[in-house]
Amino acid sequence: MTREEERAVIERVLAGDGQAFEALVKANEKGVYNLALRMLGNAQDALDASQEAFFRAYKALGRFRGDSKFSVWLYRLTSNVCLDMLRRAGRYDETSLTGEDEEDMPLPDSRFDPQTALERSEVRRAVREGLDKLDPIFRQALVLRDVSGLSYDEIGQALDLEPGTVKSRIFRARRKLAAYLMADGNIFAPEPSKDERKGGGEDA
Amino acid sequence: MRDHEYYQELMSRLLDEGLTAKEERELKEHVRACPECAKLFSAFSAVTVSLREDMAEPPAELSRGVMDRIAADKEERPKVIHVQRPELERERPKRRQRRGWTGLAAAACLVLVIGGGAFWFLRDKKSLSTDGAAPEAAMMRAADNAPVAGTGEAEDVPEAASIESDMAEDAAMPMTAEAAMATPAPSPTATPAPEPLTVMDVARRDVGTIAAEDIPAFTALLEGGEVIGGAQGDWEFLFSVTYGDREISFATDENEKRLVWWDGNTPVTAAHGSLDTLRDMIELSEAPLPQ
Repeated sequence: MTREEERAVIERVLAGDGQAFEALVKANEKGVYNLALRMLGNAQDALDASQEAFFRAYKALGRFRGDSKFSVWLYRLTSNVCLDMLRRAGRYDETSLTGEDEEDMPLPDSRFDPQTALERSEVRRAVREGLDKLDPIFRQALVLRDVSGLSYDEIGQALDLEPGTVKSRIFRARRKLAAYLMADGNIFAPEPSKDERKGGGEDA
Repeated sequence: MRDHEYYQELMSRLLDEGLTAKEERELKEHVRACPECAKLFSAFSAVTVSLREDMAEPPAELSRGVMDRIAADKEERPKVIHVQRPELERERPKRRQRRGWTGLAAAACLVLVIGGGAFWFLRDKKSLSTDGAAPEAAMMRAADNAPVAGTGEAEDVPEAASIESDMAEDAAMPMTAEAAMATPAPSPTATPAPEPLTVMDVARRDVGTIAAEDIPAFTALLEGGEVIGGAQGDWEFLFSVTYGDREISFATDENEKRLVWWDGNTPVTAAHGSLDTLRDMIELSEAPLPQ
């Protein structure tokens, strides 16, 4: 859907044609659903979050001014719905966040051998598991980048962050996931990490 | 040699926006020389490719559920509310104008919240005290623009154009918020009470009414607002009201601490009240504050 087409549909919805909203749902449901799926880790929650996000978008449609892409605005809503759900489920506690000061992961053990890389499906499983262990704010940035396909700037718009912060969160998320991947699959036993020394629960 | 983190950041950027030729060369050289980073780079790539490829098809019930919910939710309206007002007369006798605006920091704003949305009217305060004469459109003002007002048929919202007698309002209308709050019944001249305002949405449907007795209170609430300079930063758009060929937009700032309005597209004036003011107004409408 081009931005012009989007605009036209939005106008119709705002003029009272609620059913016209379906075109916006259809055009964006895959992106929204996969964002929610990677944020929440299971299909039922992802479905609930996606529907809630679309419904919020419908109700707040008049606030969308076209400054960003519609999808970026929608992903922002989705991402907030997901954080709300994680918060309610006790899986996200902002007060414990160390945020940007979070300590770096140590370089992983070097026994990972690309030649014996995990099967692709195994990699996916490991990545999903690793994602679930990431701090939600890091997961959010990474998922918006690699699942939703947003640029640093767009993620910055969606999350009200500076592009530099976005870049840093994505980098840290990747490094944690990479370390998790290398530690997974019985390639080697994970080394004790600095996280443990600190007693942090954010190791991935 | 730079530290490993430098090269690892390059890896991450390479996967996103790409690197400069120089950076790419640096990274390649380092990865060749550093087995640790080489392995990490493999893992970085595996993670990224996996995330980008691992896309699920959304279940069919997703869109169905959304559309059912929308259909079942007839009370919900889109948030942009246009209140069509009659074309405004451009000229207004100066004498009346001056007197009419005495004591007004800004145009009176009325808010009505229905089903989670906020609907505002901008009105000239004095049009709120009425004696049942010819309908006159409410006045609006933004910044120092000269207020324009006029008589009109008020075709779309006849009730909204509450009746204004020529001069009676000057004596009639309380000039302070407290007075207005304390004196919801309009005027010592004992003219008929103002008629309720009908709020219409973009499709010209009635979406609500502001009761006549609430009008002075609504009006007074917004008068506590302070007028400041141009709006800065990001503002959360709420809705707009069209008034003849003018459009007044309302917004709150990102923390919903302030209310602001624009005349047209220019945020020349930001008249703002506190969030408490907004809450008060919403409470008056007996509708919940939208979350």
